[in-house]
Amino acid sequence: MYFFERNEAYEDRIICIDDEGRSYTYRQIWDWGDELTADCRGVVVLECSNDAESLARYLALLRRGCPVILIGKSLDEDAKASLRDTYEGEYAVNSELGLLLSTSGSTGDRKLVRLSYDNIQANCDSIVEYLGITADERPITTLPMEYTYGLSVIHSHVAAGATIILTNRTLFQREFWDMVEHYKVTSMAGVPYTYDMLERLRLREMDLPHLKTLTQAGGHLNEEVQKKYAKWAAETGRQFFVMYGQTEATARMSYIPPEKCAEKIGSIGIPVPGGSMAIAEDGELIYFGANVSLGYATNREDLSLGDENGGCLKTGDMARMDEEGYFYIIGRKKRFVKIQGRRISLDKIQEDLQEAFACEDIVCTGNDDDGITVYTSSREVADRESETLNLFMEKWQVRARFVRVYYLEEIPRNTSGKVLYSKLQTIKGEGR
Amino acid sequence: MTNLEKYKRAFMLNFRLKEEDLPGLEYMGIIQWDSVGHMDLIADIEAAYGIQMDTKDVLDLSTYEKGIKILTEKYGVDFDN
Repeated sequence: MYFFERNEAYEDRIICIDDEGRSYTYRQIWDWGDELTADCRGVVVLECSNDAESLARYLALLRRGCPVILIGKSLDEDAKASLRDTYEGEYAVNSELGLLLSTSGSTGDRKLVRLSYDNIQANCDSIVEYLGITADERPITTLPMEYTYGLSVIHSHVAAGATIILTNRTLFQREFWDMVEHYKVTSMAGVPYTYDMLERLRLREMDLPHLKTLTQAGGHLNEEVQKKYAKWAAETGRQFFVMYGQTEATARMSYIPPEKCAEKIGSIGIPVPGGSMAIAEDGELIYFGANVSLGYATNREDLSLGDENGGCLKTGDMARMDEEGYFYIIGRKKRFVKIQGRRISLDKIQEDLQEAFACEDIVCTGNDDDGITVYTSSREVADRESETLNLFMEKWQVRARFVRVYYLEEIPRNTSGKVLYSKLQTIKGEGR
Repeated sequence: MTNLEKYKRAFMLNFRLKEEDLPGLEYMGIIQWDSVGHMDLIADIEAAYGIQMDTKDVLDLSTYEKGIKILTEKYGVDFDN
């Protein structure tokens, strides 16, 4: 039985409590969702936020067999329209196809990951098992629902018949913490920058006796922070899970069992139950499991495609394994960075910048810790730094502090004109 | 630089705004003042006055005007000088 189906055993339990303090039973959410989606046919773009209506609609669309494209309300209107035009409607699609998610979170890329009902269920089962989620859990939402990690928190708790505190509030709102206290929240999820915020708010000094589990994914957590949380959790009888995942694997692929957390600083852990990992000859981390997506889609014809991955995902991350079978990420095969938990393609940004300035001599490099560096051999582009930074903020929601613009006399290229990115990493241009 | 100038500067630099945009500014009211922006803003304010703000005040500083009130009343920042 799929987690989104009506399960009589849960019908009178509370599925969620929203920002207005309203609670809903599982049955109420099922009935409401059926009513709201009664006229839906074919592929549906669902704009969601962390509220009861979004949850009701989403679960109902899964039950109805309408493939769902989840997007955030804050996505810009052009991107929303483009997704609707491209995908919405009734046409022939793969009958296994249940959910389509963007890998870039909020950039509204038309490239989507195709996930089957079995993918979602498989990952959900693994997560419930390794986190030991029961019906007594009360997680609070700290991530958007359309973001794979945020969505996996919802899936796994609905599967267990738990109660989700659904909020759109942020960690810097008093009302958020009032909810944590009032509803006796038991767990919270966070990407690396969530932990920076929790540190700033001195979470470890707060008196929250019901908060028992913290999870982390969405990029490499600062090792000092990991140490602090591992220690704090061990000393206060809590569990801190460091995890690794990608949208291409529905959500999660590996985790560090909490008792090993302090010992395995910097690791991404061991495969989730049901999954396995290996390192290819060239060093790339390969994941195998039933949660590996069917493939990508860039147009509506792609929705009729079958399973192109066959349960095997090339992660694009380079890794090593220690003698106890714990994996460590040591680099990237592809050119992208993770900033604030979101994956950003350096090639895409580079192309967009070249287009925006009508100039070929702009290249981007970057890493997760330092952000993105833009190199240009055009004086004019270098002088328009402020425009570049505004573009980053508006178009990709990347704030100025993660971006540097450097002027270079010449961009290093090989004889055939290909940019030598490795050389760029060692160059410090004329900065601002 | 006066204390008020330092305060304004923290907002203007962090959120890339002009002075006239500041009055009435609210947390989550503009795309730049999200939770990451808030964290940076607080760090800059703390550095500007050499203070460490309590968690409660970090949460309460939710408008441009409230910040002035909190800093005056709880951290003794004099905005008239």
